[in-house]
Amino acid sequence: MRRRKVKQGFFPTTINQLKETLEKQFENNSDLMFSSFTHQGKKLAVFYIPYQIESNKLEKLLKTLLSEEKEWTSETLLNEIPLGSGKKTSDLQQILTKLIVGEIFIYIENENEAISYQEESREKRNLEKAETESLVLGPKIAFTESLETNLNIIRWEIRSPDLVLEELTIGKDLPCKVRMIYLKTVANDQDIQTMRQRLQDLDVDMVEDAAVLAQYIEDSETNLFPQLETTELPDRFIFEINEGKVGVLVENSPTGILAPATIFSFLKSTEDLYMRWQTGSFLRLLRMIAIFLSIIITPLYVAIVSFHYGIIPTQLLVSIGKSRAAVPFPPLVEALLLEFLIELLREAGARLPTKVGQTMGIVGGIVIGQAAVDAGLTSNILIIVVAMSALASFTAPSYLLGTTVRLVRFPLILLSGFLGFYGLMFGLCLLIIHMLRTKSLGHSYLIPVYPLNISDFLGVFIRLPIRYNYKRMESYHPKKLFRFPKKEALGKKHMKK
Amino acid sequence: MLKHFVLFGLLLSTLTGCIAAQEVESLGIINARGVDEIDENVIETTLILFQFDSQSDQITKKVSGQGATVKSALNDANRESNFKLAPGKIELEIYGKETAEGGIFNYLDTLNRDATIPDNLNIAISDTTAKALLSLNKEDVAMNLGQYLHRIIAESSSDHLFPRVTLQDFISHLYDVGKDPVLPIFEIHDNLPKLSAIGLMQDDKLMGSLPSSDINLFNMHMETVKKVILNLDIPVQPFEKYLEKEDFIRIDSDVLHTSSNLIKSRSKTTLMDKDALKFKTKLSVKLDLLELSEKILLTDKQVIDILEKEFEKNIISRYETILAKMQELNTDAFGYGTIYRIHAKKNKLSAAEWRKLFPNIQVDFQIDVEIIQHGSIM
Repeated sequence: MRRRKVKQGFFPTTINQLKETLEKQFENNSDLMFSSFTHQGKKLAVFYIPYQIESNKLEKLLKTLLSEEKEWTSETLLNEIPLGSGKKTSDLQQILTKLIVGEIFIYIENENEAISYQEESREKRNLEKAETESLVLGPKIAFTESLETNLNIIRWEIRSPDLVLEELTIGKDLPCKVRMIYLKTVANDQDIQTMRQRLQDLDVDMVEDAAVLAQYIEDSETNLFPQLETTELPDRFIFEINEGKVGVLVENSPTGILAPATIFSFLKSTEDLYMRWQTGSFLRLLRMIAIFLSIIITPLYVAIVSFHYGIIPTQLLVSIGKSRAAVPFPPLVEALLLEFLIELLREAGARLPTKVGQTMGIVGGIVIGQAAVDAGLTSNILIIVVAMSALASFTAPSYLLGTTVRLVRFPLILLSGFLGFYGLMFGLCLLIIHMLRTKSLGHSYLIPVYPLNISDFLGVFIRLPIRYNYKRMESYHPKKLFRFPKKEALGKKHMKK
Repeated sequence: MLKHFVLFGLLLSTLTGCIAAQEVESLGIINARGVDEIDENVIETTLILFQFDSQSDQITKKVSGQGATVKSALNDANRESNFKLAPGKIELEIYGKETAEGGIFNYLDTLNRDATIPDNLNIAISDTTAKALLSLNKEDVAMNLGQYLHRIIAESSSDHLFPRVTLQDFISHLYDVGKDPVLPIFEIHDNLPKLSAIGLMQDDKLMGSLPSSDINLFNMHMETVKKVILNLDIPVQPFEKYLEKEDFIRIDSDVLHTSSNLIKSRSKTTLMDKDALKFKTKLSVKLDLLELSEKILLTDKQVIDILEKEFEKNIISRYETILAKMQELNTDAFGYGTIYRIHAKKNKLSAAEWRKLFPNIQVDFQIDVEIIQHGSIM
């Protein structure tokens, strides 16, 4: 579509002419409300799109406009109507864009510009509980699609002038407001600049959602792993901002982006912090083991049953042998079949309405599982293995990482089925090499394991007792390494009566 | 990138053939194997298998085959089974008595070199033939016989009842100068297998055996032993005046049978005189007295002292008998040779030299028995 070129200095013009031009722009579009009237001998025009504006504000505006017994000019309009957002516009193109985002225009005939008031009304949903990242303890509120609401939440949490909320606009045809959020006294300058540069350099027509933006700006798109953290939890977002990370919020998206990320930061949950440190540490380690198990357990079963019967303990050998005897397929096909079934169940569960989805789990898990064994399609040991692997992949606090884990399993199962332990080892090596090459905002994806940083080690794998958790991640070189002085925080007093 | 994927796919598809699939359900997994030399150059092998068939509940099977080598006998045995025999899970290897007397090194060496054979397989000897032991009626055992035998060995070794000998243990003792390996011997008792004796080996040949009653003494010499029942028989005569004199109690034997719980034993052997081949074995034994065949008044402190003395005498005499037997068979199962070797010139001692020296060694057994408790009697 050819863009219509509008000359500068469209004004002054007559009301009729203006109406004609605007209506031409809004052809086949009955939305524009254009009313003209005479006040004190001067012709005035008010135009707006009705559902984009707050109607009682419009009434108020018109009341003041008509009640005054004087001749209005652009200047007096701007100065005497007590609405702060009054602006002059003389460019037709600008008028059009502003009309769409809910501004009310007033034009006085023969003036050089139109005056606009920002009185938009915007529909938004209320704050709700987090759905995908649900927590047991701690704040349960989730981001909404309204950028203003999200900023409001963050501002109330971090009441500090150090918090920077840089505004950027992305998207050529359908522009979208993006906020880059960081603590200027904490976050590493290089990270801030990298993020800013990536956002500014982005030259796309539109940004659909924060998840899409994350894919636009992540380090490598051929990579299997998500390289930027995405979250719908304001408390997680704020917590990470305070740790010195750079956050991004996108208009109309209930998701915040955080960078830099590591594989371990996807396995962290803010809930670890709300629990006592022993349980928090236990659950964090549990999740890490679970993710590893989830990747490895089905391939391990396939490799052992197809190639390495020697390492099965005798007692287990009998039960595996008995259950395998009835299955007509090789272990590889059996495992792929069952994994496929589980993936089907998951996808069906995610697509179905919530109420039906719950019964879906029962039907799928128990009925199909047991029936498959009875029908001799799979062995019951494999059912346990696959169920365990599926269960373990659900423990990832980040849904994105969970999906990656689901995907990674399949090549490993294939390799194990073809080459046994050799294949499995080969596959795991490839996976580790792949992870080593992954970068997040230019930082390694495996910090603090690679490059090794001993002082960050404990804080990542164990949720330290709060008083000892006084240090930010050294690997990211934050401007302020210490969150609070250790010595003072350690002092505890008993007041005597 | 695409090149890598194509290369990867090619490698994966071509290399797949390199590793033979061994799916559990298509194998006859050997659990125990018996080897008998039934004739000059004819070996009979008896195998206890696990095999999994959807149409049968029977998961264990016994097959046997004959051939000039173990491998050919195995091939022969495979004809009795519709499953491919797989040796990767052998837990027990049993040799017939006669076969063991002729030497088992040849069989062990091939086992040791075969990478598919697990290293922790146990070796044992059958008092009759391996075939007879492995052909025992299954109803009395009620489980896979190989697994049953293996469990007997594992359980008794964990309770210090019997030394457990794996392939690796045996091979390393075999090559150790100055120490001969031992093997457990199974006998058939009431249609059930039973661990009955310690087979004394000279290198790879079975020379004789120690009865099961000597097993505890044997173990006490080799390692620290805890919590086993120790039965000692001592003469009644020294306790004559401490016997409870009641009219209705008659003394009908001149032997006092005792049972004690061995709390802890510790042994140490040193070379005293290199040229005279004199050794000293110190053994301290702590006992919890459980049972006496006669009623003796233990309240007297002196009785305990006499008991300890008599126990010491008994143990010494039994050790001397064991040693005499070993010297007669010329098998050094206690490993005096390894202690001698440490003190030999430049630590050098050939197996043949020690064979000549061993029958002439003298061992001074110093036993220290301490009765810690006797509360369960009095």
